Amino acid sequence: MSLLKVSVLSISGLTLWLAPPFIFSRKIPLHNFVQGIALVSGFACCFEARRCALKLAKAEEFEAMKDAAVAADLVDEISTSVYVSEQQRRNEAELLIASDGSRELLERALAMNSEEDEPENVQLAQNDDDELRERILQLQARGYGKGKIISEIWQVSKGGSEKYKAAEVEYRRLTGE
Amino acid sequence: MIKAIALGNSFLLTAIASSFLCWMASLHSSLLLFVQALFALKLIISICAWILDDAIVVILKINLLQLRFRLIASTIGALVGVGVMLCRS
Repeated sequence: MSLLKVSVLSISGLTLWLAPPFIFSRKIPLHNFVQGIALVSGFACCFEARRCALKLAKAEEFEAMKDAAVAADLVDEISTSVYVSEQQRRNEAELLIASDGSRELLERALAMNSEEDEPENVQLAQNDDDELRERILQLQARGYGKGKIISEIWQVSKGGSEKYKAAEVEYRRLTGE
Repeated sequence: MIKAIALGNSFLLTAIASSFLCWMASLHSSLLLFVQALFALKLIISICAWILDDAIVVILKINLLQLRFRLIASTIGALVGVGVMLCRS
């Protein structure tokens, strides 16, 4: 609509400027007067057309900037989601590594059973217990049973072996069964 | 596109203003002198602007190419406007 208005005003201005001098005679006073009026009208038309065109150009620039901002937001959102998923993956990997480390620490704690009185070892064992409890809860949440949890954490298969019994005792102690 | 229309209208404004001054000049001999003085003033200003382009570029906050384009376009517009009124019947 605005483009149409600008075009019509421009063409009107051009016509009002060029047509009267070649249609009317300058020797007839009325014709001369009409020429002057036409020139003023043509000037006004062109002035308005220029004003509208500049306004329209500014609006177009604003729209382009808005589009660029939306695109930038989209790119930012995508990169953030990629970063978050990457972090999540890393955390999961660290948790897995930590669970493996806990197993080693547990084995060491069991081996050093006689030195339980040492406060450092107690603290270590306490940390281990917390991590193991957390791991057990995670596996329970996944729907794992006792036997499967024991085999998953302590790496011993179900049976009457000493290792399994020790693991079962540890499991009961940790879960409070 | 729209910027080109705005530029074209700027050119038309100069040309129509110039034609209007010519029309005024045709009304009376004293107005002719006045219009001649105005055109002479415009010429002097254009030459000064062309010479002092570096200072004017800083004041108007435009680049040198734009200033030269405006000076040339306004001169051509004024000449076209005068030409149209001189060619009329």
